[in-house]
Amino acid sequence: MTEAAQRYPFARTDRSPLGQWWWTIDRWLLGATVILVVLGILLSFGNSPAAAGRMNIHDPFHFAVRQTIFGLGSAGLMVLVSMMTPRLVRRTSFFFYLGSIAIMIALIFVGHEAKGATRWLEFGGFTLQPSEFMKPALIVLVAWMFAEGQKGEGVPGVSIAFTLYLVAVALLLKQPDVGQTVLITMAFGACFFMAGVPIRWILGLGAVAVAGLISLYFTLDHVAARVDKFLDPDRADTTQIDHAQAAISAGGLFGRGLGEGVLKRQVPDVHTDFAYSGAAEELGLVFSLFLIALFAFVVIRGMMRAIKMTDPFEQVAAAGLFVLVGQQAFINIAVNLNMIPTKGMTLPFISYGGSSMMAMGLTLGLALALTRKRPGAYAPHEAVAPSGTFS
Amino acid sequence: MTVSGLTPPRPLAWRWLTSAIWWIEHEFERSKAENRPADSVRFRMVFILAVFVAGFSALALGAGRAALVSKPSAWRASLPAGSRADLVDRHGDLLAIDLPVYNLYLDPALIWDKAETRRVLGPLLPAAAGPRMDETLAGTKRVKIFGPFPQAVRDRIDSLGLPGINFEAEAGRSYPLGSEASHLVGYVRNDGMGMLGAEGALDQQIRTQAGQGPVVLALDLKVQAALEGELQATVLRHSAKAAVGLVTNIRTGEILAMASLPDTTPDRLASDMNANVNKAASARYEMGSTFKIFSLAMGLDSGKVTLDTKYDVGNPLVLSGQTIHDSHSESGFYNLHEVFIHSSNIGAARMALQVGGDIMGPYYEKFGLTRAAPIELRESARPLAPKVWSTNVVANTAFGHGIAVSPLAVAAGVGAIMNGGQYVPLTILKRDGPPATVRQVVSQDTSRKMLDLMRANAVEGTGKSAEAAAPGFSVGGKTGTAEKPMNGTYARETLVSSFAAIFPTDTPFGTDKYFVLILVDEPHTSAEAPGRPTGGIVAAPTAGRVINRIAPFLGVSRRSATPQVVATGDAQDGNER
Repeated sequence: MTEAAQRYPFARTDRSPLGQWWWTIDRWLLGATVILVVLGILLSFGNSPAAAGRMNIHDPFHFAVRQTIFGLGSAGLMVLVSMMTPRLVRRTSFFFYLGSIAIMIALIFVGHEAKGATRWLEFGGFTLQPSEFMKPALIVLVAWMFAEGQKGEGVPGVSIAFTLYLVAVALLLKQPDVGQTVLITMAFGACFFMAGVPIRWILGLGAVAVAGLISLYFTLDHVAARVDKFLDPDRADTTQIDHAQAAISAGGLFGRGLGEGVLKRQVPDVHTDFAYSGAAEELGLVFSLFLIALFAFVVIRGMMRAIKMTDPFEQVAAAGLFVLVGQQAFINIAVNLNMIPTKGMTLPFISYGGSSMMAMGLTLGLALALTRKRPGAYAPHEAVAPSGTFS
Repeated sequence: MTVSGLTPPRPLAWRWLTSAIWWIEHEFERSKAENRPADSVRFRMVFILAVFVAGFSALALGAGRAALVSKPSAWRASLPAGSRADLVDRHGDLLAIDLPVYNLYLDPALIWDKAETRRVLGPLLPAAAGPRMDETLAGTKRVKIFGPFPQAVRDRIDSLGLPGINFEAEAGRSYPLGSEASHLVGYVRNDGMGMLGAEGALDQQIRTQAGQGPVVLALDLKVQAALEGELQATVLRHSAKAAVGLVTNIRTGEILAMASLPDTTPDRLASDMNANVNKAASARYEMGSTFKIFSLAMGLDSGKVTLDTKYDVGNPLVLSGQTIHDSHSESGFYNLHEVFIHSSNIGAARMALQVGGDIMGPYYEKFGLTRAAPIELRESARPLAPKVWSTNVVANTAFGHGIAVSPLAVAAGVGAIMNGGQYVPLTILKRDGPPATVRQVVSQDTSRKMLDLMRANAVEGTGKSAEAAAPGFSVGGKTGTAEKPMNGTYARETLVSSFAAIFPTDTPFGTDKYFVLILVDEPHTSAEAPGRPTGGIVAAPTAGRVINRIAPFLGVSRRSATPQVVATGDAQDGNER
C-alpha cells in the first residue's frame, strides 16, 4: 500500500481489495440498500413492542434487537459477497443451491412446523428457512445455464436450467410453500424471457404456468381461501387485511407520529409481513411513498446497469436478482394495500426474519458483485468514468 | 413415430426424450441468430424494466388511495375506539361504549424539575405515585406509569402544564352508568376481549356488529334501578352477606333486570372477588320451600294428586336416617292447597313420595333443574342435582333441599309453570316474542292452578307481606327459607331467604306476566322487621316493593287500591320451615 493510500483511505490510487471494491461497486445501489437496512432497524423499534405485546413476549424490543443483529449481519454478508468475481459468484451460488436443496430434502424428515407448513430447520433456538437462500442461487445458476446453452458448445443449458428449477419447485410444493413457488417461477420466467426464449414458446409456457396456478387453487385449501377472500371480502374473514387497511388509513398523509401508532397493535404479523402497514400508520403516506420509491430505485437502477453490461450471463443473472428483490417488494406492498390476495411474503430488509434478511443480503451482494465495474464488463460507450482517470 | 395403440418401448422413449432436448436446445440457440430486435436481451430487459416501472407506479397510486381516499367502513374511520358495538337497554339507553382512553408516559429527559413533577402529579394520581414514578424520574427512559384513564383525567393532567409528560391513546370500554347492571353488562379485558356478562356472552356479535348500530339487551334500566335500590336496602336492613334479584318476562324469556350484591365497581375490578361474581347466574343455592312450586306442579300435572288430596301433617315424616318436621307443628290434615299456603314440608314430602321418584325425576329435568340454565351467559352454573331419585331424595327435593340450582334456573323453571306450561329459555337479548320452539312441560290447566295457588299464598298465606307492599297488581308468590348446609348438617340460623313472585296472576295466558325473584343470603333479624329472618319476613316485602315500583313501567295497571283479602283466619307469617 502506498503512503497516500494510508493517509486517504479509498483514494483512487488505493489498489488494496477494499479500495478496489469501493471504486468499482455501484455506490448508489449500495447506498440505497444500506438505507433500507437502517430503515428496517428503525421501524422494528416501532413495530417490535406491538408485535411482542400481541405475542406475550416480555421484552418489548425482542424483535428490534434481533432485527438489528440480522440487519448488520445482512449488510456484512452483502459487502462480503459483493467483493466476489463473476466466477466466484457462480461457484458460491452452486454451493448455496446444493446446500439449500439438501436441507430442504432433510426438512421433509426433521422440519420445524410453523403455521401449518414445514419450512424451517430449527437448531439451537435458531430457525433457518433454506428456500430463502435457494432463490438467488437458482437465479444465478439458470442465467449461467441459459448463457452456456446459447454459446452452442454442446451444453444442454435449457434442460439443466429447467431441471434445477423443477427440483426446487417440487421441494417447495412438498412443504407446501406456494408463495416461494410463485416467486421463483416468476423470476425464473423473467430470466428465461430475458435470455432470449423464442416468442412462440412464451405462449405455451404461459399456458402451463396458468394451468399450474389454477391447479394450486384447487389442490391447496388455503390458497383457494385467500383468493376467495380477495374476490369476495364480504363473505370471508378479513381481520388481518382489515386491520392493516385501518392502520394505513389512520396514518393519512403524515402519519400519527413515531410511537403513536395504536391500530398497528391489532395487525397480526406487524413486525413481519405487515411492517409496511405499521410504518404507514406512524409515518404516513409521505414515508410510504419514499419507501416505495427506494425499492423502485434499487430495481430500476439495477436493471439499467444490467442492460448496459456485455456478458449475457452477467446481464441476465444481475437482472434476475433485481427482479427477485423487486417482485418481493412489489407483492408485499401490494398485499398491504389490498391490491392482490394475501400472501405471506416479507418486505426485503424491512420485515423481521433472520433467514429472509440474510438471504436478501446474499441476493443484493451477488447482484452488486455482478454489476461492479470490470474491464470489458460494460459496453464501451456506456462505461461510467473509466477507472484510472485521476491516477 | 409410434405405432398407434402401442406403448413405445423404453429405448424409443429415451431416444425421443434426447432428441426433444436437443431440438429445444438448438431452437434456443438459434433464436439469437436471426438477430431480430424482439429477441435481443437488452430489448427484453427494457420490457421487464417497464413492467416494474408500471408496477411501482401502481403501488404509489395504491398507497395514496389507501392512506387518503379509502375509508372502507364507518367503524374503521372512527377507530381506535369502536371495535366493539355499543350496548343499550331495551329502550336504547346506553350501557357500554367504546371511547378512547389514555396512558400516561413520563420522559425524564424532558423534565427539568423532577421534584416538582413528583410533588404536583403525586396528589393528583395517588395510584401512579410511588416507587414506579420515582424510578422513572431517576432513570433516563420514557416509561408508562399510569393508565388507562378517560379524557377528563387527561385534561386535568394537561392543565398542570408539566413538561415531559405525554399520553398515548387507545381504545377503551366505558360504562357510563358505572356499576348499574354491572354483572349483566359484564366487562372487557384490556386487550379488548369480552369476559363476563353480555360483553363475554355476545363477544362475537358485539365485534361483528361494530359500526352497525348497538346491540340491544332485554334489560330495562328503570326496572333494574328499582330492583337494585330495593335489594340494596334489604341487604342493609338485614345485614345480609349477599343478595340476588331477578326480573323476567315469562312470556318471552327476557331478563329485564338482574342484580347481584355485593356489587362490583364501575371498572368491574372490585378487590373483593366475591363482588365480581354474578350470583344470579353462577351461584347455586338450595332454595328451600320455593321449590314447592316445582313439586306441586309436578304432582298436579302427573294426575296422581289433586288440590283436595289430604296429607297428615300432624306427625313428623320418618325416613331412614332423617325425620322431616314442620317449623310450626299443626295437628291433623292439610289438603294440597293448604300444604302450599302454609308451606308444610311434611305435606310436600308426603305428596312427592305418593307420586314417586320415577315421575318426579323427569319433571325436574323438564323444569330445567338438572342442567345449567340455557342462556347466552357463559357463567350460567350447572346445578348440583341428584342422580338417583331415592325415597330420601324425593322427600327432600319436594321442599328444595338436597338440590342446589342457580337463580336463573329457578326463574326459567317457575316461568315455565306460570306461563301456560311452556319452557321458554331465558335470554339477555331483546326479543319480540317467545322463540318459535318451546317445550310444553306442564298443561295449561296445571299452570292455571299454580297461578291461583301463588295468588292465594300472597293473599292468605306466607306471602302476605308482598301483597301488602304491592296492592292491586294481582301478585302471587312463594316464600323460601333454606338453612345453609354447613359442616355436613343444616345450620339453623344461617339462612337463604327468598321469595319467588309472579304478577299479574289473573290475566290470560299469552299475555305478558312477570317473574320477580328476591334471594337474600344470610340475613339477620332487623329491628324494623322482627322475627326469624325468613323468606316471608325478609324477601317477600322486598319483592312487593319492587313490583309496586316496576309494574307501571311494564304496563301493568293497578286495579284496586285495596287488596282483596280472603279471610281465612288461620294464615300465619313464617310458619314454614
